[in-house]
Amino acid sequence: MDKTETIPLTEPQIIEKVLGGQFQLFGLLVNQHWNLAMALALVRCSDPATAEDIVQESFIKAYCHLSRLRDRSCFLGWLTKIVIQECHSYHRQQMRRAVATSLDVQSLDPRQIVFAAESNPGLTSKQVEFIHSAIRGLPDSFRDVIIMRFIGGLSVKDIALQSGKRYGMVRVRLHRAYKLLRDKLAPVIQEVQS
Amino acid sequence: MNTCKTCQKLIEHYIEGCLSSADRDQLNEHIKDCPACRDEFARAQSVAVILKESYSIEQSPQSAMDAVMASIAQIHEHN
Repeated sequence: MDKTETIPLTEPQIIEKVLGGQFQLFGLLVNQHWNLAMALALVRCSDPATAEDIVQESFIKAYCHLSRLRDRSCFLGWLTKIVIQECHSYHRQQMRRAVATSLDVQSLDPRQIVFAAESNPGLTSKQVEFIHSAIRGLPDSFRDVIIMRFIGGLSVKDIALQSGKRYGMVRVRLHRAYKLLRDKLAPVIQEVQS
Repeated sequence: MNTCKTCQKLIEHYIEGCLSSADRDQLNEHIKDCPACRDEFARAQSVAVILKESYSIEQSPQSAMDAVMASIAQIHEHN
Protein backbone atom coordinates (compact mmCIF):
# COMPACT_ATOMS: atom_id res chain seq x y z
CA MET A 1 0.00 0.00 0.00
CA ASP A 2 1.24 3.45 -0.88
CA LYS A 3 2.04 5.15 2.40
CA THR A 4 1.93 8.58 0.80
CA GLU A 5 -1.72 8.06 -0.11
CA THR A 6 -3.82 10.59 1.75
CA ILE A 7 -7.35 10.09 2.94
CA PRO A 8 -9.60 12.95 1.81
CA LEU A 9 -10.90 15.07 4.62
CA THR A 10 -14.55 14.79 5.52
CA GLU A 11 -16.63 17.96 5.50
CA PRO A 12 -16.77 18.17 9.31
CA GLN A 13 -12.95 17.84 9.36
CA ILE A 14 -12.58 20.57 6.73
CA ILE A 15 -14.87 22.84 8.72
CA GLU A 16 -12.90 22.18 11.92
CA LYS A 17 -9.68 23.12 10.15
CA VAL A 18 -11.20 26.23 8.56
CA LEU A 19 -12.43 27.35 11.98
CA GLY A 20 -8.96 26.62 13.30
CA GLY A 21 -7.51 29.15 10.88
CA GLN A 22 -6.85 27.17 7.70
CA PHE A 23 -9.25 29.32 5.69
CA GLN A 24 -7.82 28.11 2.35
CA LEU A 25 -9.51 24.76 2.92
CA PHE A 26 -12.86 26.49 2.55
CA GLY A 27 -12.05 26.38 -1.16
CA LEU A 28 -12.73 22.63 -1.08
CA LEU A 29 -16.30 23.31 0.01
CA VAL A 30 -16.67 26.03 -2.64
CA ASN A 31 -15.49 23.63 -5.35
CA GLN A 32 -17.62 20.78 -4.12
CA HIS A 33 -20.91 22.66 -3.88
CA TRP A 34 -20.62 25.40 -6.50
CA ASN A 35 -22.81 23.76 -9.15
CA LEU A 36 -25.59 22.89 -6.74
CA ALA A 37 -25.58 26.42 -5.30
CA MET A 38 -25.68 27.85 -8.83
CA ALA A 39 -28.63 25.63 -9.75
CA LEU A 40 -30.54 26.74 -6.64
CA ALA A 41 -29.88 30.39 -7.49
CA LEU A 42 -30.65 29.99 -11.18
CA VAL A 43 -34.12 28.56 -10.60
CA ARG A 44 -34.90 31.64 -8.52
CA CYS A 45 -33.33 34.29 -10.71
CA SER A 46 -32.56 33.17 -14.22
CA ASP A 47 -29.81 35.66 -14.94
CA PRO A 48 -26.52 33.71 -14.70
CA ALA A 49 -24.52 36.79 -13.67
CA THR A 50 -26.94 37.56 -10.84
CA ALA A 51 -26.99 33.92 -9.79
CA GLU A 52 -23.20 33.92 -9.68
CA ASP A 53 -23.18 37.07 -7.50
CA ILE A 54 -25.70 35.45 -5.17
CA VAL A 55 -23.64 32.27 -4.93
CA GLN A 56 -20.44 34.21 -4.26
CA GLU A 57 -22.17 36.21 -1.55
CA SER A 58 -23.64 33.04 -0.06
CA PHE A 59 -20.27 31.32 0.24
CA ILE A 60 -18.74 34.41 1.83
CA LYS A 61 -21.63 34.57 4.29
CA ALA A 62 -21.24 30.86 5.03
CA TYR A 63 -17.56 31.41 5.76
CA CYS A 64 -18.24 34.39 8.03
CA HIS A 65 -20.85 32.52 10.05
CA LEU A 66 -19.29 29.08 9.92
CA SER A 67 -18.91 28.86 13.68
CA ARG A 68 -22.71 29.03 13.98
CA LEU A 69 -23.11 25.76 12.10
CA ARG A 70 -23.86 23.34 14.91
CA ASP A 71 -24.00 20.06 13.00
CA ARG A 72 -20.90 20.13 10.84
CA SER A 73 -22.07 17.22 8.75
CA CYS A 74 -24.91 19.42 7.49
CA PHE A 75 -22.94 22.12 5.70
CA LEU A 76 -24.76 21.61 2.41
CA GLY A 77 -28.22 21.95 3.94
CA TRP A 78 -27.10 25.10 5.73
CA LEU A 79 -25.56 26.53 2.56
CA THR A 80 -28.78 25.77 0.69
CA LYS A 81 -30.72 27.89 3.18
CA ILE A 82 -28.23 30.76 2.81
CA VAL A 83 -28.49 30.67 -1.00
CA ILE A 84 -32.28 30.72 -0.82
CA GLN A 85 -32.22 33.63 1.67
CA GLU A 86 -29.85 35.54 -0.59
CA CYS A 87 -32.18 34.99 -3.54
CA HIS A 88 -35.09 36.34 -1.51
CA SER A 89 -33.00 39.36 -0.48
CA TYR A 90 -32.12 39.97 -4.11
CA HIS A 91 -35.79 39.92 -5.14
CA ARG A 92 -36.72 42.24 -2.26
CA GLN A 93 -34.01 44.67 -3.34
CA GLN A 94 -35.29 44.53 -6.90
CA MET A 95 -38.79 45.29 -5.70
CA ARG A 96 -37.61 48.24 -3.59
CA ARG A 97 -35.62 49.60 -6.50
CA ALA A 98 -38.64 49.24 -8.75
CA VAL A 99 -40.81 51.19 -6.34
CA ALA A 100 -38.13 53.83 -5.86
CA THR A 101 -37.68 54.42 -9.54
CA SER A 102 -41.40 54.03 -10.34
CA LEU A 103 -40.65 51.32 -12.83
CA ASP A 104 -43.13 48.67 -13.75
CA VAL A 105 -42.39 45.87 -11.28
CA GLN A 106 -43.63 43.30 -13.76
CA SER A 107 -40.88 44.20 -16.15
CA LEU A 108 -38.24 43.41 -13.56
CA ASP A 109 -38.99 39.72 -13.39
CA PRO A 110 -35.63 38.34 -14.47
CA ARG A 111 -36.94 34.88 -15.32
CA GLN A 112 -36.33 35.27 -18.99
CA ILE A 113 -32.66 34.96 -19.47
CA VAL A 114 -31.36 31.58 -20.41
CA PHE A 115 -28.40 30.02 -18.68
CA ALA A 116 -25.37 30.03 -20.96
CA ALA A 117 -26.23 27.27 -23.37
CA GLU A 118 -22.70 27.02 -24.67
CA SER A 119 -21.81 25.54 -21.27
CA ASN A 120 -23.84 22.46 -22.11
CA PRO A 121 -22.50 20.96 -25.30
CA GLY A 122 -24.85 17.96 -25.19
CA LEU A 123 -28.01 20.06 -25.13
CA THR A 124 -29.18 22.86 -27.36
CA SER A 125 -29.95 26.26 -25.86
CA LYS A 126 -33.62 25.63 -26.58
CA GLN A 127 -33.51 22.34 -24.69
CA VAL A 128 -31.71 23.96 -21.74
CA GLU A 129 -34.31 26.71 -21.66
CA PHE A 130 -37.08 24.13 -21.76
CA ILE A 131 -35.56 22.08 -18.92
CA HIS A 132 -34.93 25.10 -16.70
CA SER A 133 -38.39 26.40 -17.35
CA ALA A 134 -39.86 23.02 -16.36
CA ILE A 135 -37.88 23.09 -13.11
CA ARG A 136 -38.91 26.67 -12.39
CA GLY A 137 -42.50 25.60 -12.87
CA LEU A 138 -42.31 23.16 -9.96
CA PRO A 139 -43.35 24.17 -6.44
CA ASP A 140 -40.37 25.33 -4.31
CA SER A 141 -40.30 22.24 -2.13
CA PHE A 142 -40.21 19.95 -5.18
CA ARG A 143 -37.65 22.08 -6.98
CA ASP A 144 -35.08 22.00 -4.20
CA VAL A 145 -35.37 18.24 -3.75
CA ILE A 146 -34.87 17.72 -7.49
CA ILE A 147 -31.82 19.98 -7.52
CA MET A 148 -30.25 18.36 -4.47
CA ARG A 149 -30.86 14.89 -5.89
CA PHE A 150 -29.95 15.30 -9.56
CA ILE A 151 -27.58 18.26 -9.64
CA GLY A 152 -26.06 17.77 -6.18
CA GLY A 153 -26.07 13.98 -6.50
CA LEU A 154 -27.40 13.45 -2.97
CA SER A 155 -29.50 10.44 -2.06
CA VAL A 156 -32.91 10.85 -0.45
CA LYS A 157 -31.34 9.89 2.89
CA ASP A 158 -28.71 12.62 2.56
CA ILE A 159 -31.23 15.23 1.43
CA ALA A 160 -33.32 14.44 4.52
CA LEU A 161 -30.23 14.76 6.70
CA GLN A 162 -29.09 18.01 5.11
CA SER A 163 -32.48 19.69 5.01
CA GLY A 164 -33.63 18.45 8.41
CA LYS A 165 -36.79 17.04 6.84
CA ARG A 166 -38.32 13.62 7.35
CA TYR A 167 -37.05 10.88 5.04
CA GLY A 168 -40.57 9.87 4.02
CA MET A 169 -41.51 13.43 3.15
CA VAL A 170 -38.41 13.93 1.01
CA ARG A 171 -39.02 10.62 -0.73
CA VAL A 172 -42.63 11.48 -1.56
CA ARG A 173 -41.65 14.95 -2.81
CA LEU A 174 -38.89 13.54 -4.96
CA HIS A 175 -41.15 10.98 -6.63
CA ARG A 176 -43.90 13.52 -7.24
CA ALA A 177 -41.42 16.01 -8.64
CA TYR A 178 -39.78 13.32 -10.74
CA LYS A 179 -43.09 12.24 -12.25
CA LEU A 180 -44.04 15.84 -13.07
CA LEU A 181 -40.66 16.48 -14.65
CA ARG A 182 -40.56 13.19 -16.52
CA ASP A 183 -43.84 14.09 -18.19
CA LYS A 184 -42.92 17.73 -18.81
CA LEU A 185 -39.54 16.79 -20.23
CA ALA A 186 -40.88 14.05 -22.48
CA PRO A 187 -40.12 15.99 -25.71
CA VAL A 188 -36.49 16.58 -24.69
CA ILE A 189 -36.09 13.00 -23.50
CA GLN A 190 -37.34 11.82 -26.86
CA GLU A 191 -34.88 14.06 -28.69
CA VAL A 192 -31.98 12.95 -26.50
CA GLN A 193 -32.84 9.27 -26.85
CA SER A 194 -33.35 9.34 -30.61
CA MET B 1 -37.70 -14.16 -9.31
CA ASN B 2 -37.53 -10.77 -11.02
CA THR B 3 -40.90 -9.25 -11.75
CA CYS B 4 -41.95 -5.90 -13.15
CA LYS B 5 -43.10 -4.96 -9.65
CA THR B 6 -39.64 -5.64 -8.23
CA CYS B 7 -38.11 -3.80 -11.15
CA GLN B 8 -40.30 -0.77 -10.46
CA LYS B 9 -38.97 -0.72 -6.88
CA LEU B 10 -35.42 -0.83 -8.21
CA ILE B 11 -36.09 2.06 -10.58
CA GLU B 12 -37.43 3.97 -7.58
CA HIS B 13 -34.17 3.21 -5.77
CA TYR B 14 -32.29 4.58 -8.77
CA ILE B 15 -34.33 7.78 -8.65
CA GLU B 16 -33.71 8.02 -4.91
CA GLY B 17 -29.97 7.56 -5.36
CA CYS B 18 -29.72 4.32 -3.42
CA LEU B 19 -29.42 1.67 -6.10
CA SER B 20 -26.77 -0.81 -4.97
CA SER B 21 -24.63 -2.74 -7.44
CA ALA B 22 -26.58 -5.90 -6.59
CA ASP B 23 -29.80 -4.00 -7.32
CA ARG B 24 -28.34 -2.85 -10.62
CA ASP B 25 -27.47 -6.41 -11.63
CA GLN B 26 -30.98 -7.51 -10.81
CA LEU B 27 -32.40 -4.59 -12.77
CA ASN B 28 -30.20 -5.28 -15.80
CA GLU B 29 -31.21 -8.92 -15.72
CA HIS B 30 -34.89 -8.01 -15.85
CA ILE B 31 -34.78 -5.25 -18.46
CA LYS B 32 -32.96 -7.50 -20.91
CA ASP B 33 -36.28 -9.24 -21.54
CA CYS B 34 -38.80 -6.57 -20.56
CA PRO B 35 -39.16 -3.66 -22.99
CA ALA B 36 -41.63 -1.79 -20.77
CA CYS B 37 -39.29 -1.71 -17.76
CA ARG B 38 -36.34 -1.02 -20.06
CA ASP B 39 -38.12 2.09 -21.39
CA GLU B 40 -39.05 3.21 -17.90
CA PHE B 41 -35.48 2.89 -16.69
CA ALA B 42 -34.13 4.63 -19.80
CA ARG B 43 -36.51 7.53 -19.13
CA ALA B 44 -35.30 7.77 -15.52
CA GLN B 45 -31.70 7.77 -16.67
CA SER B 46 -32.43 10.42 -19.30
CA VAL B 47 -34.11 12.66 -16.73
CA ALA B 48 -31.06 12.33 -14.46
CA VAL B 49 -28.62 13.02 -17.26
CA ILE B 50 -30.37 15.98 -18.84
CA LEU B 51 -31.04 17.66 -15.49
CA LYS B 52 -27.40 17.37 -14.48
CA GLU B 53 -26.16 18.43 -17.87
CA SER B 54 -28.46 21.42 -18.13
CA TYR B 55 -26.78 22.90 -15.06
CA SER B 56 -23.26 21.74 -15.73
CA ILE B 57 -20.76 24.46 -16.22
CA GLU B 58 -18.14 23.24 -18.59
CA GLN B 59 -16.33 26.52 -18.69
CA SER B 60 -14.76 26.47 -15.27
CA PRO B 61 -16.19 29.08 -12.94
CA GLN B 62 -12.68 29.28 -11.48
CA SER B 63 -12.57 33.07 -11.60
CA ALA B 64 -15.82 33.28 -9.63
CA MET B 65 -14.54 30.79 -7.08
CA ASP B 66 -11.21 32.59 -6.91
CA ALA B 67 -13.07 35.83 -6.20
CA VAL B 68 -14.83 34.13 -3.27
CA MET B 69 -11.54 32.88 -1.88
CA ALA B 70 -9.90 36.29 -2.36
CA SER B 71 -12.69 37.91 -0.33
CA ILE B 72 -12.36 35.24 2.32
CA ALA B 73 -8.60 35.78 2.51
CA GLN B 74 -9.23 39.50 3.10
CA ILE B 75 -11.80 38.74 5.80
CA HIS B 76 -9.35 36.31 7.41
CA GLU B 77 -6.60 38.95 7.40
CA HIS B 78 -8.81 41.55 9.05
CA ASN B 79 -9.93 39.20 11.81
